[in-house]
Amino acid sequence: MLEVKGLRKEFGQLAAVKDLRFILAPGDIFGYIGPNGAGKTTTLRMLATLLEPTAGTAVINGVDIVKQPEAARPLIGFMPDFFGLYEGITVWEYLAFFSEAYGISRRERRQVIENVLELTDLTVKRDAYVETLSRGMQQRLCLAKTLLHDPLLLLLDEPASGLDPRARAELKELLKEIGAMGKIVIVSSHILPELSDFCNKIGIIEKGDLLLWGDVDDILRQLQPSRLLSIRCLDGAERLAQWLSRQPEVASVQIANSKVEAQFIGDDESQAQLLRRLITEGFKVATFSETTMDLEDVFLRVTKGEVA
Amino acid sequence: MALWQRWVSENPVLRYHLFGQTRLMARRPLWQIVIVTVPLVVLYLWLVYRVANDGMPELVITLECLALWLVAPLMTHSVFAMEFEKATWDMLVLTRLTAGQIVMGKFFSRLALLSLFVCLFAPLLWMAAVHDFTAISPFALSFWLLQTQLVVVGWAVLLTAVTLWLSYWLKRGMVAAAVAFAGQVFILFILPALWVLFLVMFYASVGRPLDPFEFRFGQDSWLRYGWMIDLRFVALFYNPIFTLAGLWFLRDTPSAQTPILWGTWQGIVYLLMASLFVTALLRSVAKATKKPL
Repeated sequence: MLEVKGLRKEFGQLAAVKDLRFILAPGDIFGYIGPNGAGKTTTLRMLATLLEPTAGTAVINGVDIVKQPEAARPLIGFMPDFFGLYEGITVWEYLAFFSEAYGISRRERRQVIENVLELTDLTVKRDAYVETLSRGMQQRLCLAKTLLHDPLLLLLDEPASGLDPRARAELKELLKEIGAMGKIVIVSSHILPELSDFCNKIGIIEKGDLLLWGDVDDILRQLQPSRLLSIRCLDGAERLAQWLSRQPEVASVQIANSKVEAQFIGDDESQAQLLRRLITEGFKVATFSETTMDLEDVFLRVTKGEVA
Repeated sequence: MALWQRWVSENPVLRYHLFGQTRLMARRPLWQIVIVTVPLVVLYLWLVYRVANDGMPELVITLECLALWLVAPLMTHSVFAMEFEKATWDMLVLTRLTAGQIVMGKFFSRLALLSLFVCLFAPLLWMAAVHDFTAISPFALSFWLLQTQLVVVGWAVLLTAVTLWLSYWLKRGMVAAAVAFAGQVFILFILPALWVLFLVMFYASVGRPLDPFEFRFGQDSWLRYGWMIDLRFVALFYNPIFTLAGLWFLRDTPSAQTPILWGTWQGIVYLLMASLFVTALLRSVAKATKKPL
């Protein structure tokens, strides 16, 4: 369990992060969204014990990161947005270096390294020198290193930046797998499609303020109380719009191109009944779909485009 | 785990800096390795030949000083700075390594490389001294050799510690190297020259002769230690070049007429100062990373 309690960071007069509060449970994948300069990296660095908060703290499984940073570190895995690798050693030696540095016993070391290599799909590169790896491979190696000591909390700062589409897709799959292992994963990003597939919780930060956080579905429901139905009939949009405006569950109707868009207040059952009534009324329905809000819409609706 | 195990035998930082980085240097195109190593090997073999035939310990000491005092900052300047430049520092901090393992691992790896150079030059100096110093006893020769090595190596260790400290605080390898070299040139050459100029002018103005070793013939034996705390000549007496010159010229002087512990004391002071810098660095790293020592 991770509980963030009023975490705040000031740099002189500037409050980079203001009194953050949220709670995450094992298995949660938390998408930490915000524009550049919003305070994402500062938050992650504070959670990673690399930056001392001005006020507040966070507690991971009962360990306070401010009072007991050395006890909290074995529970944390941090992958910074800009990272380097030690050169002159192979992938295996690199992981052996860190496994020793994390205090993994000599007996377990081999098995642990083999496991993370397999998880990150780097087994074939075990004897390659780290500086010869592609950016995507280096990203995976850094993630493998971060997973060596089996941390409960994984902090990934812009993990997909600089990766090509294939490497991004592979990283997404990998993160899903890690989430399924029962870890708390916090992924910061300003590229929203990156997060939409695998995050079950999100937080939106702007100018140091956490504007909202919670379950993705709950947030979407809060921000979109009505459903937007998009209907196209072969009979013409005018007649359909008139008919829809007379229905009790329809709040408003609008014609867009050849489609009619209706704000629908009702559940799935009443939505199915509306479709049945349309057909009974003799409308030749070509398409009938619900336009759902995505993270990008949420982000644009909540934020004002300001930076700290 | 014992301190020795923690800092040396079970320290991955020491192993990486000793082997990983060295291997990185060796993984260059063959022609580059040949261009660098062949002239050095030829020079060394020429030196062995000259020493075997002509002795010339002064040449060996000069080359040893040049090698060690140039190499020490060169191989240390980026040891900490590379962590910041390559953004690997945060990853190191998050491991369970102690501040002592990080600092001492880096420091000992440099000392190990430095000792390779000592192993190359010390036997040569011994050969050259045996060849040339026929007038002094084997005991006096061995003592002279030890004192000389203490000064040369002590200064190199101090340079390594200072450069390591600079590398941590300046966070840029090239800047640390430049500051270390500039500082060395200032302390070895510019400061003594200015100091002597000032002293000569001062003594001329008061009409007294300038004798840095006036305590040498003092009535009381404690006066022969006086040079150690004589602030008038501190920039000269603690200058390693001046110290080595003193050892050279005093090598066959009766011990009753030489400043007591000349050479030995300077070597000890250099090592003490090096340990002060390393301790300060250790404490800084422990404080900044909130890691135990």
